[in-house]
Amino acid sequence: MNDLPTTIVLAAMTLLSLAAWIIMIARLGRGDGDRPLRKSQYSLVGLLTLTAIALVIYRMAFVYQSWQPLRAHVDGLLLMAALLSMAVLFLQTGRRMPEFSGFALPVLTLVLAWAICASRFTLELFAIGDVWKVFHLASVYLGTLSVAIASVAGTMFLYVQRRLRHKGDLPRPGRFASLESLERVITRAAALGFALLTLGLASGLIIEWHKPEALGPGWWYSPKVLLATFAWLVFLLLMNVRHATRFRGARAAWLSIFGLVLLLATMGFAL
Amino acid sequence: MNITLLGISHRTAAVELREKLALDPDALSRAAAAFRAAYPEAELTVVSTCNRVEWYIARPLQQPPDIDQLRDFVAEQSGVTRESLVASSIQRENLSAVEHLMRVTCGIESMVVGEPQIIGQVKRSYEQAVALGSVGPVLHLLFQEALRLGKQVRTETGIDTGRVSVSSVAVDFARQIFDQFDDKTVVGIGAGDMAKLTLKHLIDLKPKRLWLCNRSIDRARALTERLAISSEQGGARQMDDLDELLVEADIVLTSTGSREPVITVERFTPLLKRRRFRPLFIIDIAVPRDVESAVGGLNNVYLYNIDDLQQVVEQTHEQRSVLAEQASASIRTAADACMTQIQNRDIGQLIRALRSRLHEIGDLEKQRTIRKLEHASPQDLPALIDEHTHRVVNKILHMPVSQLDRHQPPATLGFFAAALRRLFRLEHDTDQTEQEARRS
Repeated sequence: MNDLPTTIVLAAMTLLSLAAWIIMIARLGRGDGDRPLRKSQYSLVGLLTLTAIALVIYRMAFVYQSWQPLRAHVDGLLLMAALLSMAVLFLQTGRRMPEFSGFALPVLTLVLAWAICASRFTLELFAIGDVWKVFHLASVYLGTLSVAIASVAGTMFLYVQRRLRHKGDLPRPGRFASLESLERVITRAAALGFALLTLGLASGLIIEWHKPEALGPGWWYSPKVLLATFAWLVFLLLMNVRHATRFRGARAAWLSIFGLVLLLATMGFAL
Repeated sequence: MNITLLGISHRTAAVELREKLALDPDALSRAAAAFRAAYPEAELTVVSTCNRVEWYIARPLQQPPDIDQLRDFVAEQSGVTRESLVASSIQRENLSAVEHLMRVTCGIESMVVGEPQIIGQVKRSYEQAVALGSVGPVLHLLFQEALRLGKQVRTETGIDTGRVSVSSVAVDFARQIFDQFDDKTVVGIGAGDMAKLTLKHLIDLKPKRLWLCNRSIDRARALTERLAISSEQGGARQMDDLDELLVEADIVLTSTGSREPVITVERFTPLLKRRRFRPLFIIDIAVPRDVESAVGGLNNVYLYNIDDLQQVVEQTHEQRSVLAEQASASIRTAADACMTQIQNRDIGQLIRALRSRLHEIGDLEKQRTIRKLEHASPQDLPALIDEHTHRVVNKILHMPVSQLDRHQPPATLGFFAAALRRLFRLEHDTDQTEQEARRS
């Protein structure tokens, strides 16, 4: 299933995302007179979304000739990229979260670059034996997507807060989403991510129960399980920052980024 | 067609004169009726705002009113002396007048460069003039172009963005920190005039509660009444309640006359936990400052003093000046295009009028020749055709040639001669005639 067209299209998508990201950085530097650049950025993201959807359909229809999703890690990453680019496309046309989409582009680029590696160099098909495995994979990938959105909101929160504190570089009114709305996105995305990761962990435990050889002896203190549990705890804390008030604001933003890094590290150990 | 502007603005006249020249709807209606009666061929639109009163007229070239007549008319309508009008007004003609109106709609001539209200004010003035029937095709075109350009320049340059007053800066910061205000509490500490202005802006955000805290509770109550804050919305509080209010507050505005800081780190740090580390936006517009600068370093506290806010206002002004400079090039191009359009339209009408006049002459002569032909023999035909042609040519040339008499000023004569040479391509013919004269 080492499909060359998939790798080529993924490379093209990565370049598109990278170009949109560079445009976003240029826009942040330029200040207000950025209308043509914004249109270019939006067009690139639109093209990227369409390509991602087309590639998902292509892989199911021509590569696997089956409508069952998530046959390999590359498919999971591609699914994440497609959903994230759709979310970016949706958010950039809305008014409630201005510029949020721009901050999601680095994450999208990272996911796509990883998908290139997963499609060419570290390709490994999942051994999908039962429904729990599909459930586990879907929960983990969608949970990671939620967590990625929380970390994007966290990054943007830190950026906007930095500009508000360094008073010489204050943002134009309405240019960025407010800190309050960003904190709300962090907690809601973290809550959704937490729920999905809980399902992922629970289904993982069921798989391990039925097939103890899957992770080998001493699985409960393996780096993958420990990191996954640690990430799960981080998101448990993050979804409750309104109660655990010491973690509000910038601390919640840093936690969301830290949680994503932990989850990516867990995925790294899983491969 | 000639376009003339006579106007005064905050740059040329004091507010007393502007007040006298400003026109309310009734006065405008009377002025428009008087203008139409006096100058039926001319078009009029008056832009009247608190900072400017400008009379825009369009008239056929040789028709009244010229600038002096317009000045007399305005003086008569407003009751100011002609001399004070001459001393304080600006006058522009044609391209300059068009460019000026475009600069006005783009907000470049405004007191606060780029302010958005002026475009609505010009639009209202234009609509009033349309309703009064004083606008013709030229001013229609001019005002529609100017209003379109005003919107375009704002969209393209963003000249209307940014903050232009300390109060609006404070509100913009509040919007950058908070998303909704119907669950927020605003606390005002001090009851000075500056506080009143900023509180007015904050009330527009519709917060859940608004408390006013002052050493003198009576002054706080008076300000509460002036701001029309109902008892459900909030009210006046004693200075002793300050800690309690700081726990409840999401936005704090301080403007006391105290020589010592009112909110110190020692005072505020123990309150953080009671506040459950909620974000707090503090606007300190007092001099000396009411809030210790170290308070701004605490987690989830955003502190801005008067210098921070003033700096943003100045940045906006600088930024807008640069954008105004950039917009000037677009305005010049648009003014040129608009003026060309107006002149082309005028030339079109002129050509139609000329054709109609020549056809009238032709028809008259045709009737005369037909009558003669009824009694003429075939041998008379060449002579009759010659006579017909001769009469038509003479009649056509009579009016323009009669303008070329020797009593005209030399400049006018020169202008007519050049126009004739150019319009009838006579340069070559006159050269030939001169050569023939020399030869003979």
